[in-house]
Amino acid sequence: MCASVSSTTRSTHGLRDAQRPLLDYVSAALPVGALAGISVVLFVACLSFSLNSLDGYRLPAVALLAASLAAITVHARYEDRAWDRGAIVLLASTALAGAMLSWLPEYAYGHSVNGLVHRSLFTAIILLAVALPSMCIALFYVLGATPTARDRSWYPLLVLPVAAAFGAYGLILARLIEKGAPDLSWHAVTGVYSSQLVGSAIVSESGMRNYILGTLLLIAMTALIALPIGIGVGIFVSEYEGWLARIVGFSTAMLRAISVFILAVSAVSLVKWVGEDDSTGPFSNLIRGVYTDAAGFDHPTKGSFLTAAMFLSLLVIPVIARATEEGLRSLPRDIREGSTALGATDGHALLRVLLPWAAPNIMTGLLLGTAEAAGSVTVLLFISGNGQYGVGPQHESTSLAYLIFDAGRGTNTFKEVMGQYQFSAALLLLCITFSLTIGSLVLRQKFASRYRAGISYE
Amino acid sequence: MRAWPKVVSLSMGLVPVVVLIAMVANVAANSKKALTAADVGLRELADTKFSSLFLSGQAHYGLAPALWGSIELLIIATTLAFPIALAMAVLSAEFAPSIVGRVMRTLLGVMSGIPPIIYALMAIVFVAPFMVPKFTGDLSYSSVHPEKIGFAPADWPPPGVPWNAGAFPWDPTGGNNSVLLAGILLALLAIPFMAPLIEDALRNVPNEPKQASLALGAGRWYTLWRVTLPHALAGIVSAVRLGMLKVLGDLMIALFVVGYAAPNFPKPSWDVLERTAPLTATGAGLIGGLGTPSACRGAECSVGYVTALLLLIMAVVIVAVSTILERQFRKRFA
Repeated sequence: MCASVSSTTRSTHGLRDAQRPLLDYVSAALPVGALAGISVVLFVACLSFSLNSLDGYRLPAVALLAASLAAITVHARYEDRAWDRGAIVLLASTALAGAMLSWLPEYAYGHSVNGLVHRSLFTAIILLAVALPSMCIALFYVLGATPTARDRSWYPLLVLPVAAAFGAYGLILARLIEKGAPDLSWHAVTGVYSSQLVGSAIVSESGMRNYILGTLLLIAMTALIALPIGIGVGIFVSEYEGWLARIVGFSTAMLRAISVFILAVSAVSLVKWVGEDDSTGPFSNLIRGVYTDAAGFDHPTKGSFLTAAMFLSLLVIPVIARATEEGLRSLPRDIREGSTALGATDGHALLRVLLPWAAPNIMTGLLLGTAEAAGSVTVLLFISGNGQYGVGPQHESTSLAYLIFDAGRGTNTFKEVMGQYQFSAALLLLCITFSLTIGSLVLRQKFASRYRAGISYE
Repeated sequence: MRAWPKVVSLSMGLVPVVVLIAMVANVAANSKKALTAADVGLRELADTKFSSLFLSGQAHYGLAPALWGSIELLIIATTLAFPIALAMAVLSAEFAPSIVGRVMRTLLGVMSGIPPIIYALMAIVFVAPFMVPKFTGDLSYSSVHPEKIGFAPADWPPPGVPWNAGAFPWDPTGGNNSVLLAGILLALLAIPFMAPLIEDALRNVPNEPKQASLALGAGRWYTLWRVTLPHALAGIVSAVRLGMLKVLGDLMIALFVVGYAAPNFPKPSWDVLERTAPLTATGAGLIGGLGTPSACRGAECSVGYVTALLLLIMAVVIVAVSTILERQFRKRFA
């Protein structure tokens, strides 16, 4: 991108300070001025993301950018007797950007609000696209046009997007804590939501106990279902190679690849199929969930915790299988052969050598997978309810994540009662998923030192 | 009895196979009903007009806008997430001091635990008002329903109006926001999953070609472009695939931000500031997450299964193309 600057031209051209003509000082000042100009343009571009009223500044900004790039080109020509190709390409891009920006008022909806919106948004994008690389080139000449300077000059291109992304995460989390923390109280955590018709009035109680317990139950049941299957898949794929293992590996990968939405659709199909004849047998109760009313009659619900956990575990199984595979693949050959040489059977080797070695990977996979499962609403979307029938494998499934959805998109009565807890629920859910992900990072270290005698395989 | 590990692991390993076959068969069988139904058929599904029987009393099941919405979301989110994830990976694997790299990796590991529903929630209460009217979808709607859209950031929420006004279930305008805002949030969702994978790919590049390049006088940046990135291309492709599948399968952000269904094809079609709901949101509305499971009946329901089938096909296409690319790159640079 930058010009080929040969150090020889620089050194022959460099005179002692006393003998430098005035032009040299002007030339040395050019990149600094250019950097300042480009910084102003970048600032205008960033402002343009959030303000509509910068319409009048966009063409001056382009002009300033062009002037800065021209200064860099002149500087490179004067100092190095060479054209900086990168600066010239960017100068041409600036001209193109100016043409596009002056064309934008004609775009789409003319002078309506939409036109304004589009214009300033695209102004920001176009200006950023040209100004960021320009900043890199200016920085290159300010730093002295050496090879080291070239490496350093690319930092803005790396650091600014990363800072923007982390800033976005930080803003979202800070705002969530700000909105959710004040509503957290003892009553909010221990109260139980219920809504009943008493006479002609609806009597409602609020509270999140069942949602919290439901989330924990879902995590536990999902882990219980997914762990043996995931480990089994991982062992089969990595230890017993062949066409069958390839099929198993492929379907596990596809299970991960297909949209979560398809799991949700399958879950609702299962519940519907079981309830087709409206039976209330034990199998139907197990899948559809059941609640017993005050008069002692059983009623089917939208879907039980067991069903929800089964479909959530389909999210976790591929993660655990992959982690198990990775763990087993990292087992050194000599340990494996050593156990065989000492007369260990397949079963013995599996229990005493393979699984302990893969344990940290499996635990990491399990925690990461359950963190994702705990936060997943999509799978629960069609088979969850508002948790007023209690928590247990046969009860109607619910979770904090579903509460967040339901308090935003559910019935009006539910929104009135539980809408206040939406942010607290989000905060609690975030606490649960964060402790799972952080736990996975910590456990990995701990297990590694216990079962591998501190051997690092990386 | 000595072969019990094989028997046990095989019986566990068959679970995903059976489940996958059952799910695909279920989706395909239910979609077939839509194709053979009297009032739907393939021509109707390929149409650009969508309207719900429940809302407008007239049913149109054109899925072209939803398909376009999914593709738009994929393009926006991937073009936003990929450069940022790449910058993160390059920074922590190649340029930054190792302690910064480790901190970034830990932070990303923690960020990957943010569930989509939280992005969706924060989008409509924080990001959208912050960017009003910037990223708010088609504002011509506001002239019809001024109460639902276009609040100024200063008086959000307006007195007496709940913060989620306008987000009614079954309201085709749904969350009132554009595909672009959903794309930005989906990019934030995908970055923590993509960046560590790209970083692994960069770290797995053997040291010899890198050192040879540096010894021949190339700078770090030149080495990165000409040696490290080409060698890591296969791993980068698999990271992008993961991000794309995450974006494609997401329902909650699309449902909360964009809404439940696109009534029509956007004009012009590349207008990312329109509300073009993707397949997932349309399907969720059709199958009826907001009613009881027994509400899923007849043509509406089977069209919902068609959206699932389309998503399945898109996922398979993404996996197939990326696998072929990965194999090519691995062959060329191994």
